[in-house]
Amino acid sequence: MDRKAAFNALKKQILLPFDQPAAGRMAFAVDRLDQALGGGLAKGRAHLVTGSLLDGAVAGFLLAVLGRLLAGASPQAPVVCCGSPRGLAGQLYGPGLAQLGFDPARLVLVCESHPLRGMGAAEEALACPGVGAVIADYGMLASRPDMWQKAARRLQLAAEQGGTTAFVTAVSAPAAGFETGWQLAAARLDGSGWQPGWSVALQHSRGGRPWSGLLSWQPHSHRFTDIKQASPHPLAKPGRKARADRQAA
Amino acid sequence: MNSESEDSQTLVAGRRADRQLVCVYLPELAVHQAGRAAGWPDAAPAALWQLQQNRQILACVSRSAGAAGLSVGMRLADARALLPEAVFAPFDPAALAGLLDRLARWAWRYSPLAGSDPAASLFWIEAGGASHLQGGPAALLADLDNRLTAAGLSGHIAMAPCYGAAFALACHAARPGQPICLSGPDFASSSGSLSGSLSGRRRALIAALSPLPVAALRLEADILAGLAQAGLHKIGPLLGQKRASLTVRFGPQLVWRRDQLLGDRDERLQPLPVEQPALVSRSWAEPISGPEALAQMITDLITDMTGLMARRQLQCRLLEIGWQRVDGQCGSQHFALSRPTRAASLLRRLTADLACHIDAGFGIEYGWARAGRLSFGLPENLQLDRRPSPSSLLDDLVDHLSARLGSEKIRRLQPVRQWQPDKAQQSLPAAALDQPPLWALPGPDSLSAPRPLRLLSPPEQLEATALLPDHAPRLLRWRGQNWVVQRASGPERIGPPWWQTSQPARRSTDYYRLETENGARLWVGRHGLPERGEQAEWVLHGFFA
Repeated sequence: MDRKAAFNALKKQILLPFDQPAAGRMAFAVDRLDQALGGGLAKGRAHLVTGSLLDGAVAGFLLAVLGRLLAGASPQAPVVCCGSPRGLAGQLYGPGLAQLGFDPARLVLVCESHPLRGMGAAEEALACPGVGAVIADYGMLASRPDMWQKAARRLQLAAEQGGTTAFVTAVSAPAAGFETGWQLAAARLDGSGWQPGWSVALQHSRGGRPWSGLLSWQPHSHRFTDIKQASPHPLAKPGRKARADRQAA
Repeated sequence: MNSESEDSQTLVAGRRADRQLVCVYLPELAVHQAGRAAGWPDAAPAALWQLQQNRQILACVSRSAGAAGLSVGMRLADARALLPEAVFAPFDPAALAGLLDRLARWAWRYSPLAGSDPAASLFWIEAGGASHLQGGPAALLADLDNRLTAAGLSGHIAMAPCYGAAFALACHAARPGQPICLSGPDFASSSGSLSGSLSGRRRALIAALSPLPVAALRLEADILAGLAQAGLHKIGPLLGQKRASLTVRFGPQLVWRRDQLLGDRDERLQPLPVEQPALVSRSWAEPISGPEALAQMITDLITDMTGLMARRQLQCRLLEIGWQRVDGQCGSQHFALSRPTRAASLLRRLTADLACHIDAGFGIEYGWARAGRLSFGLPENLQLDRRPSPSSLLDDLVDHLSARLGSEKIRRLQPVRQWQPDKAQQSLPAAALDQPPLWALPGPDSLSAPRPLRLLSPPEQLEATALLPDHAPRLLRWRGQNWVVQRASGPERIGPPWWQTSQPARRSTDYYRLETENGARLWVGRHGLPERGEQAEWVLHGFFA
């Protein structure tokens, strides 16, 4: 008994810094995810978000994260989006963004197809004061591991110096060098209507641990809900959920 | 009106007796401009229309169309019925204003004070003190008329000692090829027994203006209607009326305009600003080269330029840095700015990379900096709040990225009031936007139809299988991927622009929001309505979050 109490006390002590969102971190308000991240998503760092081009999961998740991240920032703080003008997955659509509570006037699009020049522009934007966040969509660089490592490192340094959070999106890319690496996929969430939700896997987290689960998102209140924590829908079929979990894994 | 006030008015008028205002009224200018742009034949009857209170009204009529019975103010439908062979086009006031400004600038050849009045389709020149360079007022008017005729424009030209009279004479009395001159020494010596005296000039002016219609007074429509009701159709009878009774009946505007007509009341005219170039340059006895020396050259030029702009209280939105090499070759680089500035730190940051890109060859011996798109700006010590505003930070960011990648590549999204999904937003270069785009943000309970987060533009063809022709699809196939649809909501019918229905390819589209088995949420449209027997064509138009 003594041994167990001591063990519990030790456990609590280890988890203590994870209970409150540390300064410079954005808490998701999803307990297990925040614990896995060590208190929340680190601000002023570079994060990698990977996922298929053929659904809106990556864009939706980024929007959701930005909604929380910029909640206290100036309403005019711009979000700089660097990417090829002719992407396979189409372009960001203002009316859709506005419906999800994100003001499209904040967006500054950098339409540069050359990945190195684009990454340079993203670094430049990170160095500018007053920028809310920078998104760079140059996953194609990952096919050249040396360049990818270098770009990731440079972006991470620029984000640290400027104090601005950077996100790099890719279809699939190694997360080494980034603060966190996320794998996103679309997911069917039973009983949530058309509310956005994704299967989220935190594959790499510096100083944290991996996590995976289903997250749904309330756009206007910027709230994430862990679907596993929510009470199960009375009519939900168990088979479907297991399938979704398999996909997430 | 007692004799004392009559004298004082004569004196006021007398002080301005040496003014020579030339008005050039070009009633057909807009038609000429549209015709030249569209390549209509010169003699073809043509008219331009504009919307006035949702009615299409003719705004400008060519001479041949006027002779055939068309007139300004006529309805477009009536005009079409009257003259079916005429060409009709919408009126572009901004283009006309631009052309008049260019004409006024051209008139700087006669005098540095020139301006335009686009509403009346005329431009004016203040030729007092400058007409002798052309050989006197009459010679100036003849030269002006010849040059306009040679350019294919028929101008109604009049010269008078004040703007009101010149305006009235040009618009209502002058004919093309016969300029009216009521000013200058020639006029003074030729007018009657009281030649040269002030009252003699005034009498001649009154005599010339009296037969003109009251519309020449630039009055509002309700005052003109009131004058017509009172039986005052010409200016002559109006000049004899007492000002008190006119003011009581028609308000103060009529008396002002009457005074301005004879030059008794001053009228502020806005001449076109003469832009002084903001240019600084430096030259060196020995040609310079090497990145450090070139960077120093750029820094020096920017310091000189910001000093010059601070002295003249100017700010610029365009900076050009130029250089000349020993072998005579010149090069230059432009830097565009989102907002007017003369901050040396910003300009230095923009030009930071330039020194490495200059090809100095055997050396550079001359360098210059020129500021463009200048505007007035207060000196810094008068601006109390020196903290940078969020919008100015954004402007700096846009400038910085534009200088690095080119201004076309930095874009922002602007809403467009169109229900076509493709056209509801516009991506514009951020440097071209004067104001931040204003988006309506629907609240959480808004009933607006769902719109995707990412839009495929143009939409992509999709193979779809639906249980019934007007049902949502069950199976989708796109880019080698198969999707089984689990949920669907819709349809939302979006029609083509009704004014383009003449094109047979334009069909209505039914949009569905679909959720596939693996969770992807798609925006899928069906071109063509099955109930009308049209061939259905499925497209993928976007992805939801």
